Amino acid sequence: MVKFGVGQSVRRVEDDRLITGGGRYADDFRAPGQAYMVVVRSPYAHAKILSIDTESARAAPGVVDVLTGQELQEAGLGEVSNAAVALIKQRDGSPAFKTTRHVLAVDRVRHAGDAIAAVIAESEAEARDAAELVMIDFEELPVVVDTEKAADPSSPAIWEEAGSNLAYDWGKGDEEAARAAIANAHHVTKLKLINNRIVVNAMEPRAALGMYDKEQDRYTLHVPSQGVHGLRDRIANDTLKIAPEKLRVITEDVGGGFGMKTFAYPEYPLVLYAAKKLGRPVKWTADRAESFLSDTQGRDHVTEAQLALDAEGHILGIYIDTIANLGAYQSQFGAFIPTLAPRDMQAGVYKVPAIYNHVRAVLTNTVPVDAYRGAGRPEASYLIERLMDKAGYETGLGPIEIRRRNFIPAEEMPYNQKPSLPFDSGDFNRNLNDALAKADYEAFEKRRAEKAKEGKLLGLGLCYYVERTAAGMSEFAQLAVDAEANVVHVYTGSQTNGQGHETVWTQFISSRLGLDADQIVVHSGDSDVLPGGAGTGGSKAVYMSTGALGVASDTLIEKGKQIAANELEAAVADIEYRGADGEAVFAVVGTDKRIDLFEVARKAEGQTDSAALEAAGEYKEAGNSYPNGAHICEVEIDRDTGDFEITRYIAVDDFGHVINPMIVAGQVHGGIVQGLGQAMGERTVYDEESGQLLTGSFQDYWMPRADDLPFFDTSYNEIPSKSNQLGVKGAGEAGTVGAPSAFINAVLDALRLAGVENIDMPVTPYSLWKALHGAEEKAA
Amino acid sequence: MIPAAFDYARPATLEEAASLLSQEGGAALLAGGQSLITELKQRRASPRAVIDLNSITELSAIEHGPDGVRIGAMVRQAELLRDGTVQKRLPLLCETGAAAGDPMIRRLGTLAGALCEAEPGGDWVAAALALEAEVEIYGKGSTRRLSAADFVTGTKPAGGLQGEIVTAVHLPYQKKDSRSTYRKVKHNAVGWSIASAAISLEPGEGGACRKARIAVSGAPSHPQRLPALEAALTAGPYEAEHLRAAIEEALDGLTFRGDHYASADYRRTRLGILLSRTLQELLAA
Repeated sequence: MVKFGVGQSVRRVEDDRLITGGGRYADDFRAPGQAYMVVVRSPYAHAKILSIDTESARAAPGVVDVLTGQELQEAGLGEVSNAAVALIKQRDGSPAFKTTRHVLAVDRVRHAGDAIAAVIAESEAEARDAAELVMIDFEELPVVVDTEKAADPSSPAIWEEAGSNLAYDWGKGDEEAARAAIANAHHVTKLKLINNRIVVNAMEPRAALGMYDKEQDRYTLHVPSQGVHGLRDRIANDTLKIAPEKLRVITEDVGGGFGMKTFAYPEYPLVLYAAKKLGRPVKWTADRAESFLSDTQGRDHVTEAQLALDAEGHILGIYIDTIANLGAYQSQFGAFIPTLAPRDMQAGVYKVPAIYNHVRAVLTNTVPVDAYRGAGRPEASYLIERLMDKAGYETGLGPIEIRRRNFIPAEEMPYNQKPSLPFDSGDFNRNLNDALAKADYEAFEKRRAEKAKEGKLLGLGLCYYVERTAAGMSEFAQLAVDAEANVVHVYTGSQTNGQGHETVWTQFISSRLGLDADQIVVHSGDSDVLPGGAGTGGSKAVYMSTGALGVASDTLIEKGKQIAANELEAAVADIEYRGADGEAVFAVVGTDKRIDLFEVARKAEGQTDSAALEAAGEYKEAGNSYPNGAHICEVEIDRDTGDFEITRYIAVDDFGHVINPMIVAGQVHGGIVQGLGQAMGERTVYDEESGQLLTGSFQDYWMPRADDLPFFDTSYNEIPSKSNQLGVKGAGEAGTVGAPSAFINAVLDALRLAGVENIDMPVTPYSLWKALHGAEEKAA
Repeated sequence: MIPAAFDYARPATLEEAASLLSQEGGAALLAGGQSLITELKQRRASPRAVIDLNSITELSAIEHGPDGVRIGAMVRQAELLRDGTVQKRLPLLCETGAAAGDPMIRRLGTLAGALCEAEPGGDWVAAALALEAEVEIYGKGSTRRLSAADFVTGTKPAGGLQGEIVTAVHLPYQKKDSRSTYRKVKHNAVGWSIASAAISLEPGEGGACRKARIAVSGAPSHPQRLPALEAALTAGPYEAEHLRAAIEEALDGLTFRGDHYASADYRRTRLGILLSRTLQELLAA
C-alpha cells in the first residue's frame, strides 16, 4: 500500500511550517554586518536627469554610500536583462527595437518609480532619511501612457532612437489565407476589446540580500525567485558580466510569484555590486508602494479581431490585430508574452483553417509589463472565447451550439492540423456537457425570469478554455539518502512559490521509494546544488520535476541494488526495490532476504567513492500538455445601481491524471480568483497628463476578497495526457485562463437584455451603471 | 515604511497633555493611531512631536447617564460596540460601527479620533450627525462643547481646534420606538463609503415622522445632515413619488465628489437610490 501516495488529497506538508511563522523568505535572511539599501525613485514619469547631487545624503548620519547610474556605468556594469527581445523578428525581417535599461537611470527616467540612486546606510531608517536628501534636477518631458495612443505616430516618442513608440511590428500565420477567409465568409464577427493592465501584488514584496566573498571572488544573492538558475545566468551574464559560477542564488520560501518574480530586476545586481564595493552584505526590501512602481505588471493589450464563418457556423479563419503595451522598458520576457508565448493559442479548442496574428508592441511611460499567470495565453483565450460568444449570438446558433460545431471532437484525437493546436487528448463535449448539467442550464431561463421580476438582470456565460503548458527545457533533480537522519533529501529545479510543490514531490518520492512523508525533506532553490533548473512558470512543474525525480529515483534504486546485492549475497538482477509497495527495502526476489534503504546508504559510505547514496536526474520534456475545460459563470446585475453578484461558478477541468486533487483545487480556486480579479475590478490607472500611477496603493487598487466571490464548483475529468509519463496536464494557470471570459460573457448575456452590447474588463458597479445608464439615455 | 524622526511624549494626565501641546508647535496627538500612524509611516505627515494620549486613563471611560452616554476620547471602537447599554440604547451607532473599518482597526481606533479625522467617506461621522452627538473639547483650562454638525464642517482641522484636545463624545440615547439604520455603498478597494446614510426616524401620527435625522457621507464633499429631507418627512405623510422628489431636492443642495473610481454623477445616483430604498423600508416597517 502506498503511504502518502499519488492520487490522494494529502494535506500540505509545508503548512504547519508556513502558518506558524517558520517560513524563510528572502527578507528573513540577515547577514552579520549587513547594511541597508533604499532606492531613490523617479517622481516623474518622463524626464531628463540634469544633475544628481548626493552630497547631503552622503553627509547624513549612518550613510555608507550613495550609488548613481554614472558610477555603475564607469564600473562597467551591464544593463538589466531583456533577453527575449532577441527572439523577436519583425514582419519585415528586421530585429525588434531593444531598449537599454541601466541598473540605475543615467540621463533619463521613463516611468514614475524608475530607479535613480541607491542610498546605503547602517540602518533602514537612516537610509530612508538620507534618500530624501538626494537632490535631483529634472526636466520634465511629455508622457505617453495609453496603449492605443502610444501607437499613434503623432504621439511623442519616448525612445527617440526608435523613431516612434513602436518596439516591434510582428506577425505570425498565413495572412493571405486569413484575409481570404474573411473575404469569402458567410458571416464575419468583429470585436474590439481591452485586456486590462494588472498590478501583480504578490503577498511577499521583493527583497534581496547581496553578499560577496573576497577570497573566493564569489557573490551570493538571497532573493525570492521562480528559478535560481535562470536568474543567476541573467544577472551574471547580462549585468555583472561575470561567469555564472561566480554567483550563487538562493531562494527558500516565496510568497507568491505569478510570473513577476522570475525576472532580473535592477535591485539584484545593485545589492551585489554594493556588497563587493563596500565589503559587507547589503540588504534591500521593497515596501508595498515600491512594489506597485517596480514589480513588472501584466496584460495591457488592445485587440481588434475578425472571425470568419461559413453558412453553418464553422470557423473559416481569424484575423487579429493587437497593440501590446510593454511599458517603459522591455522586461526580461516582455517581448515574448504577446507574441511567441501564446502563438496559435487563439485557435482555442476549435478547428481553425487560418489565423493571422499581427502584434504591434508599444513603449510607454509606465511600469514594464511581463508575464502574469498565464502569460499571453489568458489573453488569447479571452479573445477567442469572446469572439465565439459574439458569433453565437450574431448567427443565431447561440454560444453553446457554435462551440460544439467547431470543437475538435474526441474521436479525432490525437489531432494535428495546423494552425489549430496539436492536441494529444481531450473530450471537450464531455466537459461542456458536465458543466452545463452542474450549472442547471435547463432551468436558467426560469431563474432569469424570476430575477427580472426583482429588477435584476441575470446572465449566464460560458468559456471553453485551453492552455498550452511549457515544454522543451531541461529540469534537474537530486536525491540524497541521509543515513544518519534516516531521511531522503529532495532537490528540484522548480521551486515553490506557495503552490504546494513540497507536498507533491513528497507524494511522488513516497510512492517511488516507499517512504513516509516525514522521511522526505524537500529543499528549495540553491543554484549550487543542481546543475540547472527550469524554474516555476508555464504550469510545467508537475511533469518536469516528477520527470527529473523519476530519473533520479531510478538511478538511486539501481545504485542501491548494487550495494544490496553485495550485502544480500545475490546477483544484482535478483534484487528488487519494494518502494511501490510502500516498503523502503531492497530484497532478493521471491525471498524474505531484505535490506533497508538507509542501511544500504550506510553501507554505501564504506563501499563507493561517494560519501553517501545519492543520485541525480535530468529530464527533458519535448511535448506540451493541453489542460482544458469548461467554465460557466452566472451573474446577477442590479439595473439601477450596477451592483452585481456572481451567483454560480462551475469549472469542469481536464488536467489529465491528478496527483493531489486538493492541491489542484487550490490552484483552480486561486486561478479563478485571479482571473475574476482582472475581470471584476483590478484597474490600473495612469494619469494621462502626468503619467503618475493613480492606483498606486491598496486604497485605490482593488483586489478580490473572499466575500466578493461565490462558491466554486470544481471537478475533473481525467483524460491522461500522452505527452508525459505521468499523464498529467499542468493546472497552475488554467483558472486564470478560463475565468475572465466566462465572467464577461455572463455579464454581456445579462446586459443584452438592456440593450448593451459591449463592455470591457474590469467590470465594476460604476462601469455597469455607465453602460446601463448610457443605453437608457440612448433609448429615451 | 519608517517615519521621519519626531519627539515623543506620553503624558499621564490631560493637563500635562494640554501643556505639552501648547509648548510644542506642530505636535500631533496620537489616540488610536489608525490615521496618524499610516501618515507618519508614509511620511505624508512629519510632525515635530507626537503626544501620545494612550496613558491618560481619564479619557477611557464610558459613562452612562439617564438620557445619554459620555464616551471618553480614548475608548476603543471595539470596546464601545461591546458595551451592553450602547448596544441597547444606540443601535444606530452599533450598526454603523459594524460597517466601519475592520476588527483590527476597531480594536485600536476611537470614535473621537474618527470625528477629528472627519474623512469624507467616513462612517462614524454620519452616525454622530444623525444621533446629534456633541464633541467635548478641552483647552486653555476650560471645556467647551460643539455639536457634531458644527464640528464636522468640511474644513480642517475639524472643530477649528487650536491647541485643544477632544476629550469625549456625548450621545443622547435613541428613543425606544425609533427606527434607524446605516447603509453604505463601499469603495471596493479601501472600504470607505462612496455613498452612505445614517437614518433615525421617530414615527409620529398619521404617517408623518415625529422626528427625522438623516446624515449622509461618502458622496457629498463632506458628511452632513439633510435638513430639507428631514423636514419633508416630519411635514406629513408622503407617497413614494413625493419621497423621491424630496430626495432629489435635498441632493440638489449638495456638492458631490467624484474620481476615476466613481464619478460625482454616480455617487449622487447611488445616494439617491440608497436613500429612497432605505427610507421606504424604514417607513413601511
